[in-house]
Amino acid sequence: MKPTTSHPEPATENRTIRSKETPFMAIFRHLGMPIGRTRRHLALVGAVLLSATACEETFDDIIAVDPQDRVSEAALFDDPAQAALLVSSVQGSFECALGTYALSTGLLVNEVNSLGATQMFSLDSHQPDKAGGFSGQYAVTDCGSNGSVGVYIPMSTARWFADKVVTALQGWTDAQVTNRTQLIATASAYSGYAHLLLGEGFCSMALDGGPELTPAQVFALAEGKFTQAITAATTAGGATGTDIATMSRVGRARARLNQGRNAEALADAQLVPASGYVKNATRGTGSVLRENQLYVNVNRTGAATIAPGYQDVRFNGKLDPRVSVNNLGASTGGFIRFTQNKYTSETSSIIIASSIEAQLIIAEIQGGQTAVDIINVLHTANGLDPFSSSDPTEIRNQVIEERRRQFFLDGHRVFDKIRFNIPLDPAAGAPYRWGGVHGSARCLPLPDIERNNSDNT
Amino acid sequence: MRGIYAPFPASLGTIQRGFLTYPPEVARIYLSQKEDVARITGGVSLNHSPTSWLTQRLNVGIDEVNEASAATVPFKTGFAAQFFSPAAAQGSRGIGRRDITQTTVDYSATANKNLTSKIGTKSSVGLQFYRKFQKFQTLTGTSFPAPGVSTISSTATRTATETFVENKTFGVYFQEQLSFNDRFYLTGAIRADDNSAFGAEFNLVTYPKVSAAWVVSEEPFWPRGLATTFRLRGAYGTSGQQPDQFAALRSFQAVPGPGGTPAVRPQFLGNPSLGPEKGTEIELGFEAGLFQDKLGIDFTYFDKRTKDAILAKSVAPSTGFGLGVQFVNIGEVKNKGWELQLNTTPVSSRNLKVDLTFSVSHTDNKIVSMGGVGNITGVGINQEQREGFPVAAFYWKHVVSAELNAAGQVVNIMCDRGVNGAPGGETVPCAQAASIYTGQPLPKYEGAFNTTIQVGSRLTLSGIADFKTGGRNFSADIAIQCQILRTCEANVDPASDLLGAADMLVNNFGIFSTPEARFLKIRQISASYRLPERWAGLIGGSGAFLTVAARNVATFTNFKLGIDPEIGNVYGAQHNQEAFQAVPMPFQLHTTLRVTF
Repeated sequence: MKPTTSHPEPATENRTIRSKETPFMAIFRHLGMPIGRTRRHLALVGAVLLSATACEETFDDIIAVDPQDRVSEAALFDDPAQAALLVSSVQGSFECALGTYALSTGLLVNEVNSLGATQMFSLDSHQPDKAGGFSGQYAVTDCGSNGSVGVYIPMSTARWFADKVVTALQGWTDAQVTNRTQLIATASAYSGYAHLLLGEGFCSMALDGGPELTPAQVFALAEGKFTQAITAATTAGGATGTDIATMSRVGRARARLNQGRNAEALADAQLVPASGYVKNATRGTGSVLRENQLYVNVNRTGAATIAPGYQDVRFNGKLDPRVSVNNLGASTGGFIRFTQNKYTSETSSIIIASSIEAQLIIAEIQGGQTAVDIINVLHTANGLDPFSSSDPTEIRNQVIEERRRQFFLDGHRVFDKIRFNIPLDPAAGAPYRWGGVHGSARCLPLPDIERNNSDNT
Repeated sequence: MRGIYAPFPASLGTIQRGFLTYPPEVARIYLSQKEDVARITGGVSLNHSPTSWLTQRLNVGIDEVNEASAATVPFKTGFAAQFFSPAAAQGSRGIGRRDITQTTVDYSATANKNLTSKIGTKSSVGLQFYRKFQKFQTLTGTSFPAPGVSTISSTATRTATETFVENKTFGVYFQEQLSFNDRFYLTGAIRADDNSAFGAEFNLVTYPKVSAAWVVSEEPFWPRGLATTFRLRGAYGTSGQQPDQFAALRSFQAVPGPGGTPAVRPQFLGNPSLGPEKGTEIELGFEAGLFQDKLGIDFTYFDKRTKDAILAKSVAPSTGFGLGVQFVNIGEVKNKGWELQLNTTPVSSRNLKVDLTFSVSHTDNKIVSMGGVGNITGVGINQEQREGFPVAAFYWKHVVSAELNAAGQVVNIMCDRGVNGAPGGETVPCAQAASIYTGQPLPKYEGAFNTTIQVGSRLTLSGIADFKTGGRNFSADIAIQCQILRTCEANVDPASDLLGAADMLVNNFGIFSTPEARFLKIRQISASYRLPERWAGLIGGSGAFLTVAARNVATFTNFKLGIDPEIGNVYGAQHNQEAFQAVPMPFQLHTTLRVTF
């Protein structure tokens, strides 16, 4: 209610109204009609009406509705006590996005094929449709449903959310937020990875409704986020600080490698422990958002199958356990179905960054015997015969092959095919198993939903 | 007719026998569903007349609907199991509950007074409160341990959801009606509403209206003869449409986070300035009774302008809220049209009476202004909001010609370039053509027939039919069958439908998968017989009626690929639902014995 001083007592209000002539009274007077009791009558109803309409705050109280199943922005970003929740949420948002990113880019680069799931056809046939709809699900769907191949929305959401949380954390003080610097480091690291994957998977990109950016521009932004994360993590120190700094060094090495700045990439990679470090995107149960979508779609629902290029991966005749698959025989549409053993349940983590990735970056940049040694460390760990060569091209090709196997179904392959100009398989124009022919897309076009709703793209 | 033509090639000769996933005998045992609905309505009405000229009324009502549904996918063994992954063959069960409670409180006070012998006045004031509360809960479990087990508690993985939607409206009104000689009525009113869905920066909205009615046939100058009764009426008023609940609120969704901890993620961008649509409507009409009231005509013309129309605008995902849309008050939408109802009793004798009613209405809607905002895309499949065209209309490239090459491929596809978004441009290669207007989702014409035939004093026959036409319907069924799986006749033999095959190459679900949907449905035919009173008297009754009614009797439609032109997406809010997943309205035969006491 407004202050009572602004609401006269009803009697007072009635007296005030009776001193005025309403339009109806004027009509009656002009008609020469008796209006004595009518005037009182009208004054009464008018007073009721005016009293009710004047109490806007009463209205507000009466119609107040508790959102119940949603949280207002103010409740989160006006309260420093929510800082830890926000950073944990940033992590969750990225992890969900990474799951569908790995699945969708896996379809685009023929790590997996659709087994009749229509929403996968356009990626599977290298014809992602930026217009959206059925053939452009990568552009318009989220990561919160089984079978989703959404990439742009979940990863853009994760990127924006991480940046917004970093900004909020920077606006708060250490007195308000415990471990604020560490939280800034964590959110910045996830922002860096979201930027990085948007740059790798998309042919061009837009951020915050801004202008269209090239992948190189996005990698530069990712590098900046990783640098911010490393600085904050180093300041924060402790086990978590070390963990975030290492994760970010792997990410920054990857971002710099993507930009062709090999010396700086090498420097970052060499600061990562040579073995033992793994940063996972955690996965879980209880919600599709938390489930490992590679396991769900390939093993549980059978929406997708492992592509022919990964159905029998060997070295010197020995099966490579990094690309372990099972033949389940004929399935949907009469096609043979293969499942994978890398992710064995909905809770299987997806690797974001690791010592192995840093080592393979070193191998790629330095080549020669350093690369051969790194390859053989991996072969030994996986029970494979040693690799031996002194031919730079052969060694480089083996590094590329090691990456293909090591990073199977984790989202690396899409930009490797671009970086190394690996031919499309099947080639453009080849028949597509579900009808039509294959296209020639190597990356995901910037969706129309961004262009049509932004003044800058 | 663009029908399904081909089996899926790769599965011919396999256990799928040309079907995509599994043959029909497996589909029949795939799923069992059950749905229960319980509804309770109640109300209290208090009427009070403190004086001869003043009455007041209080109505309090409640309407509660409780829906419970369950779907069980049983554990598959034997022949059926081979069509599923090991996990999918273990089955699942889902239970859903939807509780909807609507509460109404309606108070009004009315004062009647004859000011003179010729002039009467009727003043009303009222308060109204509406609350709608919806609660949705789901429980899902997957993977039974063995055949025959079917409870959620026996599944290996279980999930639950719970959501609420609540909306409240509070309003007050004042209305004054004057009558002159009981022939001319003049009414003025004003209403003020507040709604829980309005944005934080938006407060009350007021809606004034004025109307007049004149019973011309009561005037001395009215000639007796052709029209026994004739009444003219007109109204001008404003009305509102509140936004969806929480449409104004920028919100984050509560979700499970890493390690099972609570977390949030961006949900809706919101719009704190969001207010209601405000419509201004002029309505003119008349009612006439001709030939001693044997033929009744009721005609209404309406023209409604809606300002601050609420339109759902897609959001650039890079701004963080790409998961949803933003509701905005922009532009102006015009709806105009007419409604006509004819009632006649062509036969009225002691033993036979025939009553016929025919009604038809026509509506044109158009976005007059987008308020400076460009076209809004992403409204639905190929649906956009464009100035100068109907709301949520369909747009795509219009193929006008195509050829087949020697290999049987569709080539040289030419399109209508379009003129300002409408058809009628020059013919150009389709790459140079724009997507142009092709139709609207809402029907332009709809109507109904009602017939009642009274035979003697005991038998009553009746029939009800209705029709809709003039709207298009995106059919996900056609899109999936023809443009994704490519198993339609036009895919296999483009010569059978050259333009259709070309359309599928040019458009992402164009005219081929969005046909016009016209239909006429015979909803009900019934016969009711009043049984001899002595039969009812045997059980103490005063009368008894036996009624046999057939419902959903027949559908005549051009929309033959889908199961039912009303199911799924036709004219609905969502135009992208697969009709094959919906349950059509079944033919029903009802027999009712009603005894009065």
